[in-house]
Amino acid sequence: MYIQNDTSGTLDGMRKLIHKVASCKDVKALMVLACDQNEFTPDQADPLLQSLQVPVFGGIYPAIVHGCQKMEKGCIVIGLPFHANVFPIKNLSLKDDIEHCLDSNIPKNMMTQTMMVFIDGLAPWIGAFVDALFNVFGFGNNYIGGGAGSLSLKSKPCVFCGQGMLHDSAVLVSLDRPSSIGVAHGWQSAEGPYRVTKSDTNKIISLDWQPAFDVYSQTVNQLSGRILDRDNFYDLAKGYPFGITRLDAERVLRDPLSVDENGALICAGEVPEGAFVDIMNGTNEVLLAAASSAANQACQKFSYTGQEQLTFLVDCISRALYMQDSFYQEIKTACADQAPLVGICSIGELANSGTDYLEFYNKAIVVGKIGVS
Amino acid sequence: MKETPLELQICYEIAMSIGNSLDLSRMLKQSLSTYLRKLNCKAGIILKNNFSPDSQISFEQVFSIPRSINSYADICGKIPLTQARLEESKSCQLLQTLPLTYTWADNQYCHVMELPDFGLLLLIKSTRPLPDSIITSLQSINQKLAGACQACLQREKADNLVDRLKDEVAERKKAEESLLASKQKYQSVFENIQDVYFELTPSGHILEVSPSARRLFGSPRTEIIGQWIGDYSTDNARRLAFMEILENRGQVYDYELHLQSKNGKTFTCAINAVYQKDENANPLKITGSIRDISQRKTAEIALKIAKENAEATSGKLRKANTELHKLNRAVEQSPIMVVITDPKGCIEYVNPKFIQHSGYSAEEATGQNMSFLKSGKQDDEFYEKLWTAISAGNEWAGELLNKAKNGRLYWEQTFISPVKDENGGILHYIALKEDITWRKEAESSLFKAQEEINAAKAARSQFLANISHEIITPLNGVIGMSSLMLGTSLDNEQSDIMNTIQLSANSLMAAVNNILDYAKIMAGQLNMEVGNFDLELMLTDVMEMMKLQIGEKPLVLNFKLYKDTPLDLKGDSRRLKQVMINLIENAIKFTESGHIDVHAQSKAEKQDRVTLEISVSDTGIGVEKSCLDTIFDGFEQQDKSMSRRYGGTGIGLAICKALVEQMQGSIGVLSHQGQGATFWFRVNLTKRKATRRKKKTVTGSWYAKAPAASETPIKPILVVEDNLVNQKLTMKLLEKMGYEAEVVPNGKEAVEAVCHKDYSLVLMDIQMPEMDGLEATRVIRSKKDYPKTSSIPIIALTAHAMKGDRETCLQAGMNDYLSKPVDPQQLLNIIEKYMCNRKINL
Repeated sequence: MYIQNDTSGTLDGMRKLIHKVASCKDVKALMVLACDQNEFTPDQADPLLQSLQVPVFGGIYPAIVHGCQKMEKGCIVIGLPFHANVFPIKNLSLKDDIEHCLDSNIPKNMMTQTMMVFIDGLAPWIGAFVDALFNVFGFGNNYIGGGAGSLSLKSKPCVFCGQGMLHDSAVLVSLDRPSSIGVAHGWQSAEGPYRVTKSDTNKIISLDWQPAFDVYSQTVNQLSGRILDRDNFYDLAKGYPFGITRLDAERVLRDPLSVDENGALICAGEVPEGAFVDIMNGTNEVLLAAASSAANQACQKFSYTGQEQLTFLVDCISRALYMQDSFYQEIKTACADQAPLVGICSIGELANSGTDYLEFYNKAIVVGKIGVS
Repeated sequence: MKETPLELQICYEIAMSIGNSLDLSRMLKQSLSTYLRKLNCKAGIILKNNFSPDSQISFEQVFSIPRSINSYADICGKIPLTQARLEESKSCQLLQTLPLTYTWADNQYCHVMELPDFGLLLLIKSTRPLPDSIITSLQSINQKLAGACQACLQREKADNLVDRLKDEVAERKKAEESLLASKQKYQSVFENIQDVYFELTPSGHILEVSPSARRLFGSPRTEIIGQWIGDYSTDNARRLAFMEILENRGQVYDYELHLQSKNGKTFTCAINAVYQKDENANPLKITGSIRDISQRKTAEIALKIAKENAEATSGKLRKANTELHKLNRAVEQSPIMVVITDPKGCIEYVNPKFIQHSGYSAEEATGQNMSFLKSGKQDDEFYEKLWTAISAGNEWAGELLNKAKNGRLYWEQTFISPVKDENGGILHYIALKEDITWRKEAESSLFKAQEEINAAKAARSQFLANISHEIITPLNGVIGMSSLMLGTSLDNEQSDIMNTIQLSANSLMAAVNNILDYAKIMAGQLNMEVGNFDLELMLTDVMEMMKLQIGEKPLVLNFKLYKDTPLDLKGDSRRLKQVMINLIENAIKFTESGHIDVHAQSKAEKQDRVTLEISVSDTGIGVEKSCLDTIFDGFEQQDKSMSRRYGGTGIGLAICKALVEQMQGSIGVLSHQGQGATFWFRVNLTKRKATRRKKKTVTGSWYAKAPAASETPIKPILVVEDNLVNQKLTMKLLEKMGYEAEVVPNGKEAVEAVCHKDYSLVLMDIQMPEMDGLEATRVIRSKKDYPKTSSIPIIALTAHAMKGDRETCLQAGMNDYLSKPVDPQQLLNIIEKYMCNRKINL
């Protein structure tokens, strides 16, 4: 396995890196993780991605992680010494039946131990896609992945495959390699519950029959001692996500990313109508404890005895934004063992190791251990 | 147990997710996914109960998340309720035990809950089971889910019912519309029908007719109704027959009947009619139609003729089309190149083979003049001849050296044929071309190889001729002279020496002759000289000759010629003798004492052919078994010591075999070592007409004795020989035979001599200075002024022993041919033969 990074943030830098890694001995697939700040466009990147002789996959994220280093510019190229089956599922907004779409794009009886999911993090169909994914593939394999895209919250081409940079799409990567997954967020209920009396996929329109922003801002104002308005919305809201109740496990969080002109809250991920939500809060300490818990879960479940392992970190960008300098500690916690670590600061996280219903998380840290050789 | 607020929220959310749709799958998808999410379960299954008429119950999976649960069969296999079919009472008992939780070793829990009056809900959870408080709360929620499921099913049934009703209404509406349309259509048809629709009473009275009846019968409809149909018929017998058929069969179609109109005009009709009967088979009425087919009948005849003509034409067209397709396929798939040009030679079509071969595409070739393929290696005159031939409307065939697109030169066998119009004008040329480059190259190589082979053959022939001349001539001298010397007075020692010399020279001569024969066989130059001969005479000759070979050995040479053997035969007696001599000589050579039996008999006869078998048996050393297979191969003797002890080249039997096979025969040997051998051969010979046959088997035994002296001729013999040794030898032999002879050294002097002196016979050498023997013979034969010279027997005496020599001599005018070395006996025989004739002629 070869891991190289380029901090120039230029396409030329990525091209050189890709060619360098692709030409290395035994490289059978490439994972390419790039920063949004590079501002790559399909016109520039597509010829490069389409010219590759090995399968390629990955995405563009607000930030990426190599070792203990968070990068906001540049890219990381990972040369994998095993084969990867890459399936782009394109133009999902136009698809009525995502299950049918998966059925027709992905062969049956494929040997999959680990499914990596690179998905447009700002797409409204994520909930339906995750449901369809679990319904079709079940709990027979592990899932790890995260939402790609930009903190500008503008939807644009952000996932990579051999066809180029795709918009409104997901890329599924089937690996016949063992893995273990640990997931946690650490956030705790600060206020609630509130009932989601009206929602539309990832948009909370009303809480307790009142405009969602009004209810949310009142609570956040009380909790933070600051005034939440449209201008400072995410700056403050990143510390007060919604938590959706479930039994026996941490709540599933929804990060309120913005507020629309009607006072509806736009979240990263679906919020079901009728759900009870709490407004959550967390400190760096509890968040770091959660990171440690995720890392421990992954390590304890990983019975792989091969020589080479890869730690793949999917850490919510809002955690990074919230934790600021402490985020370094979080990464360090995740790469506590000697295995090389690469990761993404995602817009939503996807993780499952066969014990739960597949969920699209927010504000969570996912630590994946993958057996390489 | 009381629920916690969290559990209440969860249960509330689950309950709220139920019943949001009346579509079962959609409703269950939302509800079950909420169950799973909220309860943190990894899978859920909804089973529906099915009751069979025999009061048994079974469960069928109607929904699950995930869609395909790998271990579903395992899960259900562990739950008694879901297994196979259960008695209703048994299942009721089991249902009363619900909810139940099944636990498996790997921290997997399966909660089985009842969906009342619908089926079962199975929830699979990892790590830890659902709390009892939740399970209890779920019972009422599950009731709601079961109710929602029932509602969905009812809705489904209702939808189906509505759909069916809609379909029925639509169908009925369609049927009504169809009926109305049909009625309108019927009315329209009735009003406008050209044929006459009618309804009759069973007795034949008209109940109803269409308005068109007026055109046919000349009366308005109202007048016709009530009339009896029989009044309109002109052929009562046919009408009655029609009615009878109708009564018997219930319906009649296209029944031809002659009817008449009110004004007496008759016409031919085709009638269709059906007997309408009530449910008790009582006749109600007759309905049907009448069509005036008078014109149709006329048209039918015309149509029949036209159809026959059309079929004939169509058949021809089909055939032509098939042929055309076949031709097209043949041309397209042809292994030879096909090019079609206009009359000026501009290409209009090339087939794929041409494209493949020339390298030009169809587009590149089309429109080009054929001359664009010229290689420039064939001159203009060649092409002018070609064009002269084809533009005169003739076909042309020849070989062209053309050039492909890539510059490659290739030979093609070309056949060009003009395609003419009916006036003989040329429309196109068709060229069929086959690449023969490989053949031309092969021919060239072959030609060179053949030239080399011919040269080698010529050299070998010349070599053999030279060898025979150069060896045999001096050898002839040695044998002859030693023979003469033996005839002089010699003391014993000298006599012994001379005998040895002669014996050695004879052996050498035999060996050389064998080698030459073998060489000729190998060169394929051994030709048969077929002529008439007397079998008995030939056999006697051979025995006479062979007795001399016995020498002092205590051997008896027995001979037996069987009864009925044909005697007057046609074949190469000289070669037949050679085989016999060879076998007998071998027998003598390998037999120290005892006897040698030579038997001759006919083994089979067919029309003018006879298979003659001659065998030579001896009491000699015999042949080793291991040698029997190879004894007829060249240079084979039993072992190397044989050749040392008995001498010989080892090719005698190979020569025999070749000669026999050339006479379409076979040769073989039967032998046991130490017990003698029998060599036999069979040859196919031609019987002469009215051949004599041996009346009885004759036998004879031979012992060596001196040859008898010949009759002395009156006139001298002229010997023409340039070689002094041969001159001397021949003269001495003749003298010894009692003939007077004279010698001249060349052909020129020979001509002079025969013109001026009367000779009984000329022995003529071939190769001589001044004038050779052949030329001299031609001159002698041409001397018309000297009639005696033109008929004088001339015998060639030459060391030339090659193929064709004998023919050359005979063609030059010679009477016979003797090859050197001269065999005294043969010389004597031939002299006697011609002297005798000469005497008769004189």
